[in-house]
Amino acid sequence: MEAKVNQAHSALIEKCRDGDINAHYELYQLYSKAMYNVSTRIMSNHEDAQDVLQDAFLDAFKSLNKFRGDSSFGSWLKRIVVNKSINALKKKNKNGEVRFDDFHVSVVESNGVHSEEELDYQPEMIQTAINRLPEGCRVVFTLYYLEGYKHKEIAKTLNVSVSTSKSQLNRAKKLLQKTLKTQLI
Amino acid sequence: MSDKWTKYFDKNREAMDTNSPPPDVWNNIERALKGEEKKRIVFPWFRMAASVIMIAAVTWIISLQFFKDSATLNNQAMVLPGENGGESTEIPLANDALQENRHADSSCIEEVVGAIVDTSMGIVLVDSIEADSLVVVLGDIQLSFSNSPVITNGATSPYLYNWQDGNGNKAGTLGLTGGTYISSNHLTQSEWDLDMDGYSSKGKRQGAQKYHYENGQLMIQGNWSSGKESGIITEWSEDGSRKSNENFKGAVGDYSPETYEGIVENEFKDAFKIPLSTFSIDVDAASYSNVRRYINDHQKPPANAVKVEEMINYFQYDYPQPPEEGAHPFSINTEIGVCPWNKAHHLVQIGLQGRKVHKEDLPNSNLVFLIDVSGSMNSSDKLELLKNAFKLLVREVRENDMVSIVVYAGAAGVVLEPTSGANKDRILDALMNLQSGGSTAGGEGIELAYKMAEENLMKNGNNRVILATDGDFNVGLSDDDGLVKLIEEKRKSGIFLTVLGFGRGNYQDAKMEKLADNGNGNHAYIDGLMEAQKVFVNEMGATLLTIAKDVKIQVEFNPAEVKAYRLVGYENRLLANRDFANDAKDAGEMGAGHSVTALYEIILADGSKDGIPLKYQKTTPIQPGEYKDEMMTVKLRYKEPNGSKSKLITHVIKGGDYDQPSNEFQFASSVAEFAMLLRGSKFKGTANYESILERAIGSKGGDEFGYRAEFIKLVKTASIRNYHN
Repeated sequence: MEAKVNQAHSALIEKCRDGDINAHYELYQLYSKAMYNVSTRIMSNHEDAQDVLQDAFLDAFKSLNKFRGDSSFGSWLKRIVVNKSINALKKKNKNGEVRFDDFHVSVVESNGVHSEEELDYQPEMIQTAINRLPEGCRVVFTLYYLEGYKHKEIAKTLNVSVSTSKSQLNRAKKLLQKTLKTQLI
Repeated sequence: MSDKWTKYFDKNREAMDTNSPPPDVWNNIERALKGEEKKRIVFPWFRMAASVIMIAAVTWIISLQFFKDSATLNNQAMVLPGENGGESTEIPLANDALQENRHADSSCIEEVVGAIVDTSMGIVLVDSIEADSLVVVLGDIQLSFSNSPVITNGATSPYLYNWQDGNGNKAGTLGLTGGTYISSNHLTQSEWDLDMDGYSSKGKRQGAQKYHYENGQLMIQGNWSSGKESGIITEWSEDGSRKSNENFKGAVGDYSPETYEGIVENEFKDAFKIPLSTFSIDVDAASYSNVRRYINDHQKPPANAVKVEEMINYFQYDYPQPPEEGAHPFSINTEIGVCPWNKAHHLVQIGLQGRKVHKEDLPNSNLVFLIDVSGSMNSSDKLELLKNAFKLLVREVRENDMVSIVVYAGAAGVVLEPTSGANKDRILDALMNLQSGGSTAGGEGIELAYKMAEENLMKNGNNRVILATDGDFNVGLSDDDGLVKLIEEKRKSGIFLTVLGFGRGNYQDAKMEKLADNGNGNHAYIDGLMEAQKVFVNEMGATLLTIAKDVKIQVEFNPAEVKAYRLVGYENRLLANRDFANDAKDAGEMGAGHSVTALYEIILADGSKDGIPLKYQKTTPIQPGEYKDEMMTVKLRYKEPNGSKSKLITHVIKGGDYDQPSNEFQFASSVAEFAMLLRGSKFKGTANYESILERAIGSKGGDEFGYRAEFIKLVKTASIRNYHN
């Protein structure tokens, strides 16, 4: 992105740098809900997400000086939350990596008219269905669709290849379709 | 290339963020930001011979946890630096041992606040020394620890205590002579002298005092700083519990300066002999935030700090709003289910839901902040938090609202004349410039605050004094009864009172609640910004706008259906049956949008006769057909906020199917079960953490602000440490 992003909360961030606890609280109020949900979707567990949230905010507050305003504060914070969530997820796993199923599908998108009909589900249902996805493809799916990550970034963040990211995304979509359909019946 | 998922999330992205983090996430962040990490020291239980002990320092809080353990720590010198007290000093007191003993036995955890711990006597010498000073105790002392006032094993020499200011300069000395050997936890008899010369945050301390212990009483002779000459400091009863005399707060032997009134639990009552049960509602929730503070600090809350009704009423319940055009400002909701901690019993839930008032519909407010700026408020969890908390409120006030600020310390004074809510900067300036210092003339402050409120009385508005303090009134009208009288007098002027408690250490729960109750008001304990947000913003209407006053509940039980009943909690809200219809009798207030919940544990009449048949009495209730299935009748009286005549509502509860408890029933009963477990209630039955958690988790519901999620976390913490009394 060119130049500096317009900083909606620069005054607030400035106050935080001066150690104003109310300013910290305001920033927390502004972003905690969104960030909590980012982490909850990755961790698929509330308590882990709370730990991550706490950790991420503290880290962010402590390193506000490093925040240069090249991106919005929200996306800067989101990077921290996503990275912390993924690290926490890795830590929970025995091999210290995000778990991916051995599953490969064609990377080619199926563009059939049929599959492009509009999704008509309540957000809560989609949310529940996402939570039931296997770990790897769940993370890829939420990063891609909900947090706006590109495959390249996902690959880098998760330390996998771009094609794995793509195939996991396809798998996620297929599984979601299936879950949502069976849920409706 | 946008596919249907992209389209879906473009449209529904916001709706995907459904969860809110529980408040304690912020609370932890707040604590960490302030660097308020608590310092914990663990001492061994048994005698430590020939030790040089050093004690404590003190930011505002030192929490010492004493654990039973036979480890010996010899010749240790430990210095704990204060928060601003320069370099931190290593604590050479075997950290490994500390770690190992951490979970040894939580039954003897003690908290000492702002205190010098006189380990030589096993009792606590409480003295609020300056925040950044440190105290070094020199001497050759043998030590014991106990919940009781154990004394040194044979006095040998005068002990000299030096205390220093933050710069290492000697700020005073304290000498102790005397002492008696005692073999067990209880003193037989002993006497010792104390010489003091120096300054503490309470002022100069100088003089010689004689302490004397006999027959379970610790007495002081000589001058004490409050001007009292002699008297009983602390009394121990047979069971080891103790009572401290307010007049000697800070004296040797004034063990725990946080005071809670004792609670004698309600018993089961025979529904035939005593068919009526009458009580005042209680919307306070201070007990919950206070208990939360203890548990999050890894301390078992004292039994009397746990008030079941205040725990239950901390939470909002999903009761329906009263009908728009209804005659009454609240709805009554009742439910009967099986009692979770005693399956042979049932539980009756009575829930009142006050009408919500939108912020824009709130009447104009005339608010007087009455702020304690005495020396004892000088800490980050008191005055600093208080300022930031009020900031949240000031943000909410509107153009037509008026705010004034009165402070009190050595003397009371007006800091801000009535100022329109449009002038937020001026209000905030006055607020942020507050500084602490001096002693606490609470009485004078209250007088002045009410005077301000009266002078600017808004006829149809919301006139309210908001008192913020740690409750440590020690000058002027400091005895509770005098203050209460004053408040009662002021109540007649139509001014309401909100009492906000801050800080730990010398928090005076009983006094604060009494003030609020007698002043037509409410009482909350603020342990962080999140709680301030709850009280001032999320539940602003409930805190600041009274929709009904003197709300009383009277239940008549039908002995044909109910054999016995027990009101869960509300011990200090009980009313005489005849006072129900007595409009001169004060009772609890209900705020806009507030909900109040009460539980009765009942034993159903099953036809079995376990009593001895009486010869001269007819022991079977008359049961005309028309009352069949009626379990009880709930009668409710309240007054309009400006009214003086009460209105009556009657609601009949019928028996039925008890197998489908609602979420609200499940949650309220899980909070009650938790409180009873913490209190060590004799009616706790099978109460246990698994059952509490199971129902709390199952009934979390929407939980907009995350309070229930936080409760679940709190129960988990308590369960890991297995807290119960």
